[in-house]
Amino acid sequence: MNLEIDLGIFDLVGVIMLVLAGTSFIYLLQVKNKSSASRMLLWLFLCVVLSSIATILTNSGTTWGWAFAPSQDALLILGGFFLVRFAYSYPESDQLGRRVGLQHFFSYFRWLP
Amino acid sequence: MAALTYAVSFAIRYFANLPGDLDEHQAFYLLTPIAILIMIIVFFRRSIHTSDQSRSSRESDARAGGASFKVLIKPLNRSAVALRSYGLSLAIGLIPVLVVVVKAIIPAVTASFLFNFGAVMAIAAMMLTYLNHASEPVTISAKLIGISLVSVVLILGFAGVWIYHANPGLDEHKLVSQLILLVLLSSLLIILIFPLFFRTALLDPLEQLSGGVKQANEGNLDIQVPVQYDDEIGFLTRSFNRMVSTLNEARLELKNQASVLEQAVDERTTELFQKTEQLEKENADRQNAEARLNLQLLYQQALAGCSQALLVTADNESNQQGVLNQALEYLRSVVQVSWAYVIRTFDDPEMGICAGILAEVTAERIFPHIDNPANQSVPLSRFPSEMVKSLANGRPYGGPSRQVLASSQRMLEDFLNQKNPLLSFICFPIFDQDGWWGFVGFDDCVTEREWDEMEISILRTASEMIGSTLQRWGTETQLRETLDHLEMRVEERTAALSQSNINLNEEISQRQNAQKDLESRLHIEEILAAVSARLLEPTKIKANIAASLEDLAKIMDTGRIFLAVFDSQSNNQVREYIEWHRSELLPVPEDALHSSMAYLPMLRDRLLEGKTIYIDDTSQFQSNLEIELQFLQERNVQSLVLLPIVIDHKLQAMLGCSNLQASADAIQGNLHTLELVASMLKSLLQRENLIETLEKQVAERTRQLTTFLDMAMLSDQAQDLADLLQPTLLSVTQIASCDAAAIHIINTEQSCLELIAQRGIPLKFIESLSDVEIDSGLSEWLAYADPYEVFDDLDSSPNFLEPFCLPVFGAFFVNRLGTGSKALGLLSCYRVEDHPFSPFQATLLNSLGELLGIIVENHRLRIEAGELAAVEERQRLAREIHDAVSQSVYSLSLFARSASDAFDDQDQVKLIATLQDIENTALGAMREMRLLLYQLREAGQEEDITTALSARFEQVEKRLGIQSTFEIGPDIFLPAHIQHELQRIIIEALNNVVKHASASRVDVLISCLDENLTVSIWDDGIGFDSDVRFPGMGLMNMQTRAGSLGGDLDITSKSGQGTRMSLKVPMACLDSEKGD
Repeated sequence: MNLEIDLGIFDLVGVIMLVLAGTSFIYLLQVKNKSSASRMLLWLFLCVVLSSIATILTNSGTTWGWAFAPSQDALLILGGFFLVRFAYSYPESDQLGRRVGLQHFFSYFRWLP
Repeated sequence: MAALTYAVSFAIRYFANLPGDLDEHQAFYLLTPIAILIMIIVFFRRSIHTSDQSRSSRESDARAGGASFKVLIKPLNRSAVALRSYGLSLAIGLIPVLVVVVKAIIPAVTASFLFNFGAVMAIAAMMLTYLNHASEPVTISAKLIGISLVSVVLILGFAGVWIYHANPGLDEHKLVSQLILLVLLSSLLIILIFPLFFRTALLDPLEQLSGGVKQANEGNLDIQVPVQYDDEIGFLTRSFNRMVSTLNEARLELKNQASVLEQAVDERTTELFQKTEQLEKENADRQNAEARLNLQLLYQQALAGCSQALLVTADNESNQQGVLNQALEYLRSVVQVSWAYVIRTFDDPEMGICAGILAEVTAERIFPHIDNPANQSVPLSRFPSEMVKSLANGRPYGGPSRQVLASSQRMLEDFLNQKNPLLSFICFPIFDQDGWWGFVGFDDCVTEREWDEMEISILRTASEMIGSTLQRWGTETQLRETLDHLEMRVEERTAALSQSNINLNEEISQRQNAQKDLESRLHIEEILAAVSARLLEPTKIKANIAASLEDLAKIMDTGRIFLAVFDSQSNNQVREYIEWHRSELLPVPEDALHSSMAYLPMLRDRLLEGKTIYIDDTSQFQSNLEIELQFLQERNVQSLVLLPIVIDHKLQAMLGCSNLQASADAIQGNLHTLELVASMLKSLLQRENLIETLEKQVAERTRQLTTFLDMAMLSDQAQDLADLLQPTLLSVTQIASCDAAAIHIINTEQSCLELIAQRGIPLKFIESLSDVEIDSGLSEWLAYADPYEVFDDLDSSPNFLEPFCLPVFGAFFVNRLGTGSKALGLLSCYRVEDHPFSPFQATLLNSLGELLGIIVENHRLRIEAGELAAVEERQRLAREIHDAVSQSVYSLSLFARSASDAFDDQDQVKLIATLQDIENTALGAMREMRLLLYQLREAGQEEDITTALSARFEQVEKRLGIQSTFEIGPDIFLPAHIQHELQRIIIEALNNVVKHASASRVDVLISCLDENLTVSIWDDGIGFDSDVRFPGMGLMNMQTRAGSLGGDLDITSKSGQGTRMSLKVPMACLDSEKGD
């Protein structure tokens, strides 16, 4: 495995995202008595941290780093799932709204076979 | 999950070097923007939903689609703001997508820059949004560190990317390594160092201030927080310290005031104790007084009960005893005695003055005394003498028996040894109008009591009330006897009054009936007055009669009432029929109207005699003709009244009514009413006849006056005299109602009367009448006799009129025609019948004769005037021809002679000049002739100005070769006489142009300008010097005519430049002319 790293400009972006998301993740982690909404945000920032790492690796110039290219977006999409959960948990849990939202969402795909 | 699976499988394939297109994940990148878009929608929907929860249900119902976006723009609560902020933060993440879309149109550097940092900024925005809107408390330190970290990292990131894209030649790896190191170091610095700085500069002072606030809240107002820095927190700390000091001072002041208040409370408490003791004493006094008042109240109630009981009327002794017992019971119960009684005194013949019990009440187990006969008659001598003496003197007597009866031991022992021992008693005297009557006594067999003042007072009052009641009863007994006597008297009087009342009622009934009759008659009289007034109105006669009949039907209660007006020529024919009938009856058919009188001959005969017909029952109607009865029965006529209206011995009309339903008594009154109305209708018909006669006379007079007018108009017509007079004879014969008429005119030359016109004269007499010689008698009659003669018998006429007396006629009228004393002719009128001419007709014919004389005289004068006018016109033409044409012709002869001389002298120049003069003179003569001919034709023509000037141009200027135009404004309308004056002025001016100007063109314009009527005439002739005055009459005539119109005439000309004449007439002058 080639471990020689050739940093590109997108690595800088990944590092900045990593710093911001990581700081937020750590802060949320140390908050006591977290609400369900904060827990969802914690998972979101974790996904962003991982996506940032994937970005850094993808753009590291290594031969193996490209393997994490799809992971950037996959992790961000996973973070989006937690973000949606956060939206229905803030400021307090709204299961009815969540159910209605899901019905609306899937109703958009009713034309699918 | 699918995305993760794909990412993992991609990595595995990559590491395992499995076959596949490793660039296929490029399409996978599209998932991220789609997911972000969905998340943005979710957050915005959540924001709207959260805002909706803050609104009332009514507002939510009213929310339309557009309102959602309003609450998204202006969220209604903090949570909605936070959710919207999260959504907007995510929207920043869409910047890379937009960059991909618009990459082709923005610079590559900018696109790359935005693409790289879209996601970074979205994460930073999410982080800051969380710090602002977190569910958990977030310290200021965390917020400051967060914003600092985001700012520094983003600035470094922006700077790095910017440097990279701005300097393509740089070593990317080295640059990125340095930047990453810088970012990490900066982040560590902010995360580790910034909290220390904020703690020292911000958090510690705030914590100290917060601690001070906490202690102040717990009551420690002596605290002062030290001021560390002179910034906003320091200012806040100083303000807090001042506030605490102020509160502390206020608290001390409150303490002082509280101690003063406590001292005042102690003083007030002592004072209250004293007041309380005083009040308790007063309360005890009041309780005693209340007890006395209660006792007094009981006494008063007992007294009131006693009084109420005594107010009852008692008409016998038994009832009186019951009433007294009831009153005594009230008194006994309130003073709590054993025995209460009323004892009366009376004079017994045997035992002297005695006393007896009249009424008594006793307590329980007390033996009554009233039933014992021995107690009903006890001599007063057995009572203690002090008691009798005291009571007789009006003083009460009583007290404990042992004290009062101490001097009468025996009596005391008897009282004390009774079954119910008398321990104490008191008696009150009763007086009537005769003196001492008895007394009321109260005995106590239980206690040996002393009677207090209140008891004595109440019992004395009660005794007086009992005495008064006994007196009242005596008086009532006397009054009752008097009342019985009066009642007997009243019954007697009542019987007498009843009889009088019956008589009065009968009289009132009679008067009411009479009043009803009077009112009925008054009503009828009012209606008759209205009918009379209506029938006197000159218009709407038929409608007024119909309304009057309706009124009559109402007061007479009849089924049908009618008025039939007969034709004046035939009494059987109904000319006018007016009726009123009840709605259930049918109107009388027209055929029945016109033939009714023929069907009812007997009725007709009676009516013609002026007699009223009244048939109360037509079934019993005795008629000579069955047809009459049948006629009435067929028309359901059960009763009938007919009243004739006879004028000048003719049956003019008939007033009738049928089926009268009034009572038999009212029939006579109704007949009288009908007669009255019939008389009114008679007056009305007489008035109508009179008006008709007057109208005929007026028509006749009108026709006569028309004849006069026609004849007067004939007098103005210039015709032959015979043609003029012949039509007048038709009017004369019609007006005078004569059969023939003739007009003779005096022929002075032949001294005879010449027949000019005749009408109706037999042919055989025309010849003899055509020329009648005027003899001396006729001449004298024509000169001096009366203007007319009337002869009823032709034989009586004088001899000089014998030629005019035609034997076929019976009456003859002759009238002299003339003006003033001058006789001009004779008018003869004849009648075949021997019916003389009335004085009025004679006067009328005389007037016609005078008018005919005027016509004849006018005709003569008109002929003479015509002859004079012809002579003057001939003279004028002669002058014109002499002045103009003759002179020109004479000049022509002179020029011809001169031309002949020049020809003889072979002087060609002179010959040509002379021929030229001949031509000019001939042209001038021709102009004069044209004008003369035009003037001859113009005379007597009355035309409007446009027509006249057109004719003028056609007849003169056009034939002389002068081009001419005439124009008049479209809105100018002038009266005929003004048009005539203007026409004369223009014609005169045109004549001058033709005569003197030698012009080839002349223009005439009539216009209205500045409230002036302007007439302008231009020519292009030789002109003249306008300063030179010409002696001719034409210019003077024009100025005179202009002056008569109120206008001003102005002429401007220069030699060789034509002439302009202008006439200005103010419109005001023309308006006044119109008015005139």
